[in-house]
Amino acid sequence: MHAIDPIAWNDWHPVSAGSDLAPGGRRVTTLLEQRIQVARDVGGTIAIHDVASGRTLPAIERYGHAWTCLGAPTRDLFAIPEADEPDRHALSAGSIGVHVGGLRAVENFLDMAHFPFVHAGVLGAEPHTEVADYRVTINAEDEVIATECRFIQPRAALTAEGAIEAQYIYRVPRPFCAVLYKTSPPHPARFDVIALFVQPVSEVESIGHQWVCMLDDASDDTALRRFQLSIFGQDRPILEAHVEKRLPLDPRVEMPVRADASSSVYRRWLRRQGLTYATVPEGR
Amino acid sequence: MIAARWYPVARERDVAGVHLFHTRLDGTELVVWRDDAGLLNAWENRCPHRSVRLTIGRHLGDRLKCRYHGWEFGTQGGRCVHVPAHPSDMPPARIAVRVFPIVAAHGLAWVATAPPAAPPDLALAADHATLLLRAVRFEADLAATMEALVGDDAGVRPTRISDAHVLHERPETGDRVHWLLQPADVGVTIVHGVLCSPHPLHDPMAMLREFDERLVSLRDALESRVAHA
Repeated sequence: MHAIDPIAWNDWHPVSAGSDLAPGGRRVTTLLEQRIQVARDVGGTIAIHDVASGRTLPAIERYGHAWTCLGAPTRDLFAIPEADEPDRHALSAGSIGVHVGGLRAVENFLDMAHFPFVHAGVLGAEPHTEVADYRVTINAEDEVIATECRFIQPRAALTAEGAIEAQYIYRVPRPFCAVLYKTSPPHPARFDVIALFVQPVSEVESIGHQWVCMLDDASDDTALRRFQLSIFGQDRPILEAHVEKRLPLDPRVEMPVRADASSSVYRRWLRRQGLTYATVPEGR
Repeated sequence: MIAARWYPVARERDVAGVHLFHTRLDGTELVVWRDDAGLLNAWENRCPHRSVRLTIGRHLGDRLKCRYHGWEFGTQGGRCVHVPAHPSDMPPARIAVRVFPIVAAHGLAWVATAPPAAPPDLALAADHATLLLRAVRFEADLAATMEALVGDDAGVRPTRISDAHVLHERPETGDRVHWLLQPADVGVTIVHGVLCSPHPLHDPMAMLREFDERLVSLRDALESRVAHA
């Protein structure tokens, strides 16, 4: 029997971008330290197996990715209703391995304060470093939601011509998945959707799968992917520079300020669920 | 846990300009740097905000700036002096990098893990020539490295001065070499050396090479013993 945290073990996790699997193709990857084979048959259906035991695992293809669960799924894969809106353009936007625990990658995705330093000239620029107060709540579905987030950005998206005050809503449906709803420059009343689905390879290694679901119909896929990859490429060396690759859940270990409200709520939410995988437990 | 005393962590000249020198002491990563006024700092290499290494940050003269969120920490005390996310707020006093005492002596920078009794004194004779030797990293713990240096009596008379300091004397020349040990991490010890000679050093490069070879062969012998143990 496995000795891995049951919360992570019984959850859905992404294991490949759908577009990385041609009909008849297969790839082997690692999920929670287990070798997994992901294959697509010539009819287009995805099948997933545990390599060591040959056990067939549940397989779902949704939001541009193949998803599986190593244990017994306790819930359905979370919903992203925008995925079904017909006038959107959705695609997987790159899978990048990063030598850090997956929860650090999710927390970084929720963070605005690093924009002027890590994404200088794109998602932020000095001297516009202030993070205005925003609201963080837990919704009825037990998801972390950060609203009223706004930040001055030189080039918020491919479609942004100049600096705008971008408005964001962050949503964390599951510990290793986060979804960002962001002002779409051509459609001020609606939001572009950018998601980070993290595949926890081990407690200190992960693969960040990005998925975008845009109202932007002008950019081609290559340009969109390149934009998202360049952003993640800027985050990666910083993520790999954490002295502690796991996320400390003890609030005394790392000092937060008001700008870290979403991080503080995220950590508290993880602690309340009892998640231990890829964390530094309290009192260590 | 290593004994509370001063340990060498760098050659002084390695801590120059805006360089952020990265090393370890007793498993703790350190960033060693010199401010524009010339004062040395030895800090834990970890931003107290999100545990990112400060060595990837920037030297701003009298403070370091973290690469991740731009937090700035002042020389000496390590106090946070600026949080860009809240530019008009004074950062809370409790936010500071963990700092260690540091002094410069004999061409080396020394760090104390706890307030030690006295700073290092090598009793170097003022009229003797001194030469800072190249540091060599041993894949062995402090005790085993000490044993190897104390047991090395080929042409020298070894004396154990402390748990991290061995003296080698060469009776025929009067040369003395102080081997000063930095317990960097579990199973890793960095050996620094200071040569003190009553004679002028006519060819320091040849001396450096000689001691390099000597220390490296000692290291190789020790590491192969450890590997076969």
